[in-house]
Amino acid sequence: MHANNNGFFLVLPKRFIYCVAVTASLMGVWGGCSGGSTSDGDWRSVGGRRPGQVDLLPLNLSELNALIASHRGKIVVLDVWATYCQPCMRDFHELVELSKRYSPKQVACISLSLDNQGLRPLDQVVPQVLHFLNEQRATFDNVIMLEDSDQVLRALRLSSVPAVLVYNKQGQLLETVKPSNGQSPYARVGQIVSGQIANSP
Amino acid sequence: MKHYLTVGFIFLAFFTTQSSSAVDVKSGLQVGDRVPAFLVTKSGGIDDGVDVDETLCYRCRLGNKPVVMVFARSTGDNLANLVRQIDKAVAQNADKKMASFVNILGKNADAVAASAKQFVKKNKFKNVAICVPTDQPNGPDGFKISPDADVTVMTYVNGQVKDNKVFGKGGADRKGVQAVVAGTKKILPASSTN
Repeated sequence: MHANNNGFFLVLPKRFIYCVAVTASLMGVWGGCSGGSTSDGDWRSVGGRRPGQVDLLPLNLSELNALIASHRGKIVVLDVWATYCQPCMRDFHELVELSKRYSPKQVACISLSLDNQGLRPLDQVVPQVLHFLNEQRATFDNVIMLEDSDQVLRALRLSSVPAVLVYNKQGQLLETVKPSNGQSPYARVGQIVSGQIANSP
Repeated sequence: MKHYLTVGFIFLAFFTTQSSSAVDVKSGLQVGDRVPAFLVTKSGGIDDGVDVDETLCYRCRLGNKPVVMVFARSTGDNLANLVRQIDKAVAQNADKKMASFVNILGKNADAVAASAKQFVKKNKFKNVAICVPTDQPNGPDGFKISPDADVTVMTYVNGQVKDNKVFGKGGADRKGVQAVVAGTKKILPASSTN
């Protein structure tokens, strides 16, 4: 399921403006989410994020699926996390390291925040999420879900955060990795990713 | 006459204290403490998408929600009554995303798991998860659950403890249960009532 870039832009003007606002206000710079061209059909170019910039996309579940599908041809590592989850924050740097270890043409890293629990309006939740992402220099796709965390957990068939979902180049879910005995899931995630790359033609 | 009144007062005070089974024991996280992450295995209760026998971090799942978290060493009628009332409070405050999970403690892991499942089967709670923590017999280290506490109730919101109640042998009776339910107001928005 690919999102139509123009259509997406039309149906999400508020979210788009919101993305601009939160990014610009926290980074003190302008340039993100500027509605750049979509010449290569890259879903992310809707936001027009500049390399090295941290931003946060508020998406619903179908848009999340479209984002994952847009990375077909790459291994996708989806880190499901939240600022209220200590193990998530402890291990998040490993997603950043993974994103640096591999070319973005090989591996697409996505962070998926479940900070929206339906307790507060989204604009009160976003600043602390973006603050953390900026601290981590998470310059890949960062998503915050519009549905509340319970709905997202059900949809992804997860019991809790943290969890890391790894998809193959065809967009199929290979494995859901959770921390084991308090250890980071990224040792296992690294094994899966390197195995997939080694087996790639 | 004055003497009788004094004695009567002492008796009344004694019975009031004893009837709630509240004990002067420090147990669990204290008001203001942050609630750390810890693992439990779900025995049953609420149908929240978590499978029975699945191991997870409920603290991480519930996040910033207002939560009533219970640690209990026995699964008798008093605990059933306490959890029944918490179950009701959670249902009444569903719009405020209130949640609860109960952690059964014990020295023998197999016996605790069996006891927790029996407790679920007997009581059929609809809004509370019944769990067995991975760390036994006193729960996760940082929680400092006292061996002398039969039941420790901590209510928290945004990951911070707002109320702590401890009950000795036999757990919480009617007054103790009322005190716990009243304590849930501390984690709910000011306008809400139970």
